[in-house]
Amino acid sequence: METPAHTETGSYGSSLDAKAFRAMEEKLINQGKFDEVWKAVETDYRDALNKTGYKPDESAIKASREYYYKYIVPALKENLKAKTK
Amino acid sequence: MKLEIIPYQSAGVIKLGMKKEEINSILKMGFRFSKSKYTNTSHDIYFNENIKIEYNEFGSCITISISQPSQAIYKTHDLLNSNFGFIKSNILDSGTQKIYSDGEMILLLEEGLAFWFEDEISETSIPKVSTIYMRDTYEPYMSTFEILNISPNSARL
Repeated sequence: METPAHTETGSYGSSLDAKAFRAMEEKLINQGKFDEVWKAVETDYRDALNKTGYKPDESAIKASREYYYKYIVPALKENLKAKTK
Repeated sequence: MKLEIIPYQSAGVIKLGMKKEEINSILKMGFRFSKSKYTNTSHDIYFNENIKIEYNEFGSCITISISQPSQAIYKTHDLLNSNFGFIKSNILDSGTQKIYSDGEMILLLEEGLAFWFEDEISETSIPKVSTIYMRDTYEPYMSTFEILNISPNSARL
């Protein structure tokens, strides 16, 4: 998201709430709740765009979602498997 | 905006512990207010200067985060133009015991500074955000950080 909205996304920066956002993502990942991770990220993205007056790019969201489930989730599952061994 | 950093105290005219209303009246610039969904904090983002002021539930400032085009000046160094190797060699106090990292954020508790790099951190990474904070602000999340080797020439990162 290369717009001013990027700086308003939940995970951007080293403030306490950005740290809390990333900790929440990490916790969900460790629990294997990958759908919830995606939901939190997408909601956050839409909120940041709304706040800054940008319209969500639905095709970019769709492509990101596909990429997340095709490449990111399998990698996260592998990491999780390795961690719990 | 050029902000002189005094860790655990202030960034330019903005002081940790100040009330939101006071900061809003001092800065006199456009900002967006939001409440956090994940903590009991709220914040103002001064979008033209890329400064984020975070408040606790009582409306007192607990963190000040600075990004370009603003400048965070500490010990004459421009933190947002200093890579991580430089920060370790020139900015850490000699008494520094620990560097905490969560992979994209560095927390220096002795110095009262935090940095966020967006991507994986290497010696040449330049922080996108520099933050000062009240003591114990990150206490609830300390278990999510790992401690790094403090040697300036460390190959650990």
